[in-house]
Amino acid sequence: MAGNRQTAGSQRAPAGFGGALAVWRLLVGFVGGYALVSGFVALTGSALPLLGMERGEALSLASLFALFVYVPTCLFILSTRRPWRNGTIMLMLAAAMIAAAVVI
Amino acid sequence: MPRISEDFRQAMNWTHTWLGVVLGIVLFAVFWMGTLTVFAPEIDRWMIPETRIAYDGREISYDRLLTQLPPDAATSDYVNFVVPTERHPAIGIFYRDSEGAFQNLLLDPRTGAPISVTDSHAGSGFIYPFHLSLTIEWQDLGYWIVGLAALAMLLLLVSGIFVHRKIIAEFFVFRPQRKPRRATLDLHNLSSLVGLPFYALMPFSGLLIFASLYLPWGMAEPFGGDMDKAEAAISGAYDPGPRTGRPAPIASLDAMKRKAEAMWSEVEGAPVKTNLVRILNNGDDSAAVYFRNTFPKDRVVLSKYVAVLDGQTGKVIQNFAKPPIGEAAAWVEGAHFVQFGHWPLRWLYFLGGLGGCVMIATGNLFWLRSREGKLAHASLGYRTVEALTIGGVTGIIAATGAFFVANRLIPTDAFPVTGERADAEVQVFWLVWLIAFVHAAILRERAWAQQAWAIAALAVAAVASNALSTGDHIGMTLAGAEWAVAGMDLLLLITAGIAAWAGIRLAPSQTPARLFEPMPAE
Amino acid sequence: MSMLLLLVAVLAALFGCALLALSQPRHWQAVTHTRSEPGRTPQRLGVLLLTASIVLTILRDGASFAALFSPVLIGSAALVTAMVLTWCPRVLRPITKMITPTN
Repeated sequence: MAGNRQTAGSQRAPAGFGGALAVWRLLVGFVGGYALVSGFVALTGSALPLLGMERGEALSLASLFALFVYVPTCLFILSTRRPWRNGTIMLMLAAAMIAAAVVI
Repeated sequence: MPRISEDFRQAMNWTHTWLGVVLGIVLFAVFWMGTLTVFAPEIDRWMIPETRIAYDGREISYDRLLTQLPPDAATSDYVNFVVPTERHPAIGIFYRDSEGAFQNLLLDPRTGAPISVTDSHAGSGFIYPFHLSLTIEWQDLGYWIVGLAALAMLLLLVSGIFVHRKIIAEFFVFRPQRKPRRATLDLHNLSSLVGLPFYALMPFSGLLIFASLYLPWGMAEPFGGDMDKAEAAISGAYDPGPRTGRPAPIASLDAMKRKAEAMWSEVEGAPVKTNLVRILNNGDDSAAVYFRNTFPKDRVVLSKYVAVLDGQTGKVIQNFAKPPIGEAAAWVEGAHFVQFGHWPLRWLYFLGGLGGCVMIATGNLFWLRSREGKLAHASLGYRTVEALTIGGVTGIIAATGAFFVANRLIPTDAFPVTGERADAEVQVFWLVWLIAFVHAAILRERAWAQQAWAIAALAVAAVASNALSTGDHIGMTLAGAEWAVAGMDLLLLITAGIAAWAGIRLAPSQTPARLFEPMPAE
Repeated sequence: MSMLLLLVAVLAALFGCALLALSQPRHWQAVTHTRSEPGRTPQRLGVLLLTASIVLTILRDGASFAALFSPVLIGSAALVTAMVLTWCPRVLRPITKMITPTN
């Protein structure tokens, strides 16, 4: 891996990953992501039956897709150039999904 | 490789490095125990010699077995027979006794009588639960740690791909003759790429299996917060309700079993067999008999069919088959459990697991190597990662070897009153593992070779102690086609060979520049 | 029959991976001890053989098992190829001789 100076023992985090930002990214990515996925599974499992799908099937489908939501979300929050903004948007999205799932 | 910005690559590198260093050793432990779990039944045969029974596929009469059970079972609300198979030749039975505790017995298929077994958790009772939860039961904490590690594995795989610059051109590259740092990274990249689909499928399917544990709110919410209803909808679980108190004899289990299997086989268009015969509310008129084809031999999909028959009349109360999407999810889960009868695939799973261990270990090693010979080498952070890596790689392997040796050395009748013999074996595991960490913290780099030699010695000791304590030495087991025991002994000997080779190569007399660090895995 | 299908699937995977490796200039040059380019043939043949390997596993065990078996089989073949390239690359010389790179 020529030219990958990053792994040559450098201890300095890249820009956008120092102290508070690192904590924010990790918390929002993992904990916020967890909330998002919970909302996604609940919402999908509750909404799809309204379109005629069997409830158990809707839940199975939601669980199969859950990680396809969690992993990209985490990677996005961990890499985005605007962590504060995007992190906040994501948390609001998670709250909205959870609320929608409870209502349906 | 898609064109990505340098910022993005640095972010992926940061993610990959942090997740790897923090969770690497947990991941190694899960992968190591998972690799062994592929052969958990064979490990059971080796550690519980009384179950080394030749499977003859004879027809079992569950009606007859029911009459031979302890009196507690006659009025138990839960009596579960596990149908024997080639890899599990003894009949398993567990039932809830009058005090509400679960009793676990193994029955000899030739007589129906309980086998007096060596008290050992063995593969199914320790190695497999360790893989699931590190056997940390308190508040399911172990499951959450393993779950986090599984999620991290998926993040590590994706971030790793983005970090790797020339994936196609360097796919097959391995240069052991170069500097240790280069060689270690090459091996890390190679082991990661050749097994990538497998390493992605395992955490994904593992997390899916425990979806209701990891997402308790999300999974239950569509069913109004009732997780039991959710699980019943997905997997056909049945609740007979409380006992009515009116005693009633149970009809023929064997006839009901035939009926259930005939029903399923007609739907499937091929023979389908049940894996368990479960009586709920035995001896009551609310009794029901529950059948499920949990682990079919000829397909990947788990538990597609569930049938519940009325205990007194044998009438079908519930006939459940997984609908299409549920079946797809069951395929993913079956891909994790690998209980089907495809031996070449089972062996490749075993090798895949070992490949994962190599990937994780070389990852940590690369982190260490990148910081060698610098000021960081003396720092607390470095020394911590170093001790954790050595103890977490060679240490856990040595601890496993000690677990096997303890199983053969602790007398069968030890701890007869308290029944703690099985726990004693497990305590040996934890003790040796702890010693390995301390050893690694003190001796640092020199600990690798010594722990490799310890693994070699323990593996040989395990084979010898099996031969001495049971008389089933390799010559005999190979000649008698006792593949489980022969296979275990052979793998132990191969392990010893590789570990000894590693011990020699890692000897301190080698100058660091010429040192290629082989992985002392099996 | 199933043993035969398995054997051929394994061989197809091994040769397929070997050819894909040889489609990379560094490996082609290391094996042939020349500075010649591998051309497109190794890559095309490699893909063909790997496809054949996948089809054979489907024929042997059905798509449900093949979806699991084929990736780990090809992965193992890739590992063997890497080991051969590392320690005895000359073993692959006959393959390079059989292919004339298109110019």
